[in-house]
Amino acid sequence: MKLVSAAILATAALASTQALAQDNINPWKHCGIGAMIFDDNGTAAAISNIIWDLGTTAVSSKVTSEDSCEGKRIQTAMFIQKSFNNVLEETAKGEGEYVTAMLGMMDCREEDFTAILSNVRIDVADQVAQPSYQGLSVSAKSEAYYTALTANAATCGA
Amino acid sequence: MYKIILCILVGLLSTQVYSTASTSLETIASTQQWRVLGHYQPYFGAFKSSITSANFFLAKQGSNDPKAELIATIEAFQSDQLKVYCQYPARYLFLLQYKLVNPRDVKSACIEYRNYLAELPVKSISLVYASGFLGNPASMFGHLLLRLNLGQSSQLLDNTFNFGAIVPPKDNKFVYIFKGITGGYVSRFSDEPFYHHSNIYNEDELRNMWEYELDLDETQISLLLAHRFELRNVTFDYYFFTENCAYQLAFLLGLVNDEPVLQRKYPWVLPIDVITALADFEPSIITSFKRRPSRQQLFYDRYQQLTAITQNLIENYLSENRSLSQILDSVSQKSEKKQLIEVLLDYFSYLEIRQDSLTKIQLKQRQELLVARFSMGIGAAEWTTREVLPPHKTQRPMLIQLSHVWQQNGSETQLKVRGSYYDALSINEPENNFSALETMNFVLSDSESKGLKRIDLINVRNIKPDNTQLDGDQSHAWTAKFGFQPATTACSNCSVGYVEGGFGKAFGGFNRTVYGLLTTRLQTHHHNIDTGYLGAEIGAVIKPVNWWRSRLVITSELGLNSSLSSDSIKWQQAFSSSPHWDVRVTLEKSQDTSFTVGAGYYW
Repeated sequence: MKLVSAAILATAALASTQALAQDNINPWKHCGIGAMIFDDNGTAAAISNIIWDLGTTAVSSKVTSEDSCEGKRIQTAMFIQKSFNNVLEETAKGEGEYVTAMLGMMDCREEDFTAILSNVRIDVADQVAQPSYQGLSVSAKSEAYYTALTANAATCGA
Repeated sequence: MYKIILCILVGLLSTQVYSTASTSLETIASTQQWRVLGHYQPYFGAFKSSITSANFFLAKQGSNDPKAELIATIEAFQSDQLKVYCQYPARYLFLLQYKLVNPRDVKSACIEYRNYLAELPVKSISLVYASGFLGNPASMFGHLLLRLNLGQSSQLLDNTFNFGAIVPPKDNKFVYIFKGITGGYVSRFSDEPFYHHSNIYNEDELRNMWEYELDLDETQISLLLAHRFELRNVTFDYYFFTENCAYQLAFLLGLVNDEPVLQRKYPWVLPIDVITALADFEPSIITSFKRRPSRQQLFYDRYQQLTAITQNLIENYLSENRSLSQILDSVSQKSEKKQLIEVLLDYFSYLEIRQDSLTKIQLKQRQELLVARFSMGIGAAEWTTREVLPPHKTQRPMLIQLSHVWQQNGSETQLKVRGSYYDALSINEPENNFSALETMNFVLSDSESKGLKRIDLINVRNIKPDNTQLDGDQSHAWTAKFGFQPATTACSNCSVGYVEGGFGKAFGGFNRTVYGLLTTRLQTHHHNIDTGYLGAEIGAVIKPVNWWRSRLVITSELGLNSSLSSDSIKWQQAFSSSPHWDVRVTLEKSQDTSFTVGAGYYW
């Protein structure tokens, strides 16, 4: 199972070599997104404002505050992980407010949204079709998704 | 003294300032805008700021003396130090109205402020209400925040102006309630992106949200943004019932409204109070409103739009009687196939929150649904938006009701005063249509020697029929209530303390329900009357038209010491479609038979 999961991630990672080289950073490995605690007990999060993305500066103590981890792509990575069900379902549908927000966060041009999402959709469809996909953690699925996104959104934010 | 200072100040300021300095400092310091900028609250005939950060104030007594703070502010701006302009851009805008400060291009001169505004090209502002839910004491009354609409590709990317307590993660619900009520937390405004809140409320807590867009012009928006900047490192007092999100946001809106949003000072403030106050007293400020349904609500709304045949196919698929390809083959139209899959995806996302996780089979089913959806064309299924009663059209939370009771043994007149919020016959949002959440419910009676007949400190009734019969979508009905009441229904001047609860099941639809509960009650000792009871309650509520609502309740209770039983049957009806008043008629048979007519005013 782990081997297959690794294969999915490796394939996705290879596809995005260009994007990674450009940014030279993996939000999950370098910024600690994977280690972040996402409070599913929304009550505490709702009452308090101790959150993982307070404004544009403060971040969770488990996330490094290096400048390289405060860019829009890292914000996008966090958005994908936190909103993963919505992002994935809307990608399957090919439209929706979450994927629109995601591409907006990536500073993609609106006229490119459809084309980028179509390509992301193809890549993510391959990921989802893998038998081992259901066994992956949300973090691993999000990372694979993000990799597919950056591979197809290399021109965004340019 | 202050007039002398003012004369000195205006003499030192520019000629333009001098020409308009006819307004006294006393007057300026007492304006609503200045009090909002310092967050000054009335405090035993004087003022006290709810801000706890001492360095926010420039005057030594600035936290409780608005005029001293105003003078200190004018002096600070007079020094012409850029730092002051950059730290207090809202105070600058305020003083500029009275020409008590030299005009400067603050936006250009202050780098941090300039960057802040560059990130917030706000087009409009919406008041967002997250409806309450009974599953958590801290969330029963809802939440309010401001959304700064940036006009970007998605509203999820908008920013917010949100207020809340800073709660250490280790504090559990009970600690939170105690410290929240007693002022044990500090609080602050925060500035998360809107998707953070939509994730919490719509997805994690499955609560509907309502958005009310406000009619604010560019100047008003600039002032709010400038004050938001001033508050970025400032902490406040926090009291769950008084200085909460609703109070602070209503107070804040006083910065851009001629009158205080909350005209009356309650002992407590609920988020719904702010919504209804705007709807009642400032209706023109609300330009539009819309619902942002929770994932659970989306699932229900969409499931109800499916045909009975498709609903049956879904049940078969979930129970593994038929495969996905088989049920998809049973649907002819491509649009229906999309609908079927999207409803199931909503169901699994809802279920994942409800159950904390999905079973292996459910995970497999969700995966094959996704694969199937990917294989279909681009474009979401089409759905009809369901029209539902918005929060500002529900019955108001506070109640005063005058009733007369005719009984076989005489009659009595009762006066009921309720602090909040709604009962089973209220005009209410659909998700709480048969439930009740009452606090501080006082009933006075002329038959009681001391006047007070009963106090229900808390009365919560969670009566919710299941919306579907799908696995995992079932919930239980429950009740909890405590306070002081007569030891029996027939006695007078016999108050005892009590606590009671019930557990059961509700069935029905959006405008009707039947339910059954097993109940228990403990009460303090009074003569030879039992102190412990076990019983049952069955009831029905119907709300067929907007002006008539009816409820039938049958109870039976057994005293644990005496083994004496008591039964009652009660039929209550509410007439009126108004959010502000109704007439209630009740026929009740227990040890005595009574007929009650009451008129209630809600505000």
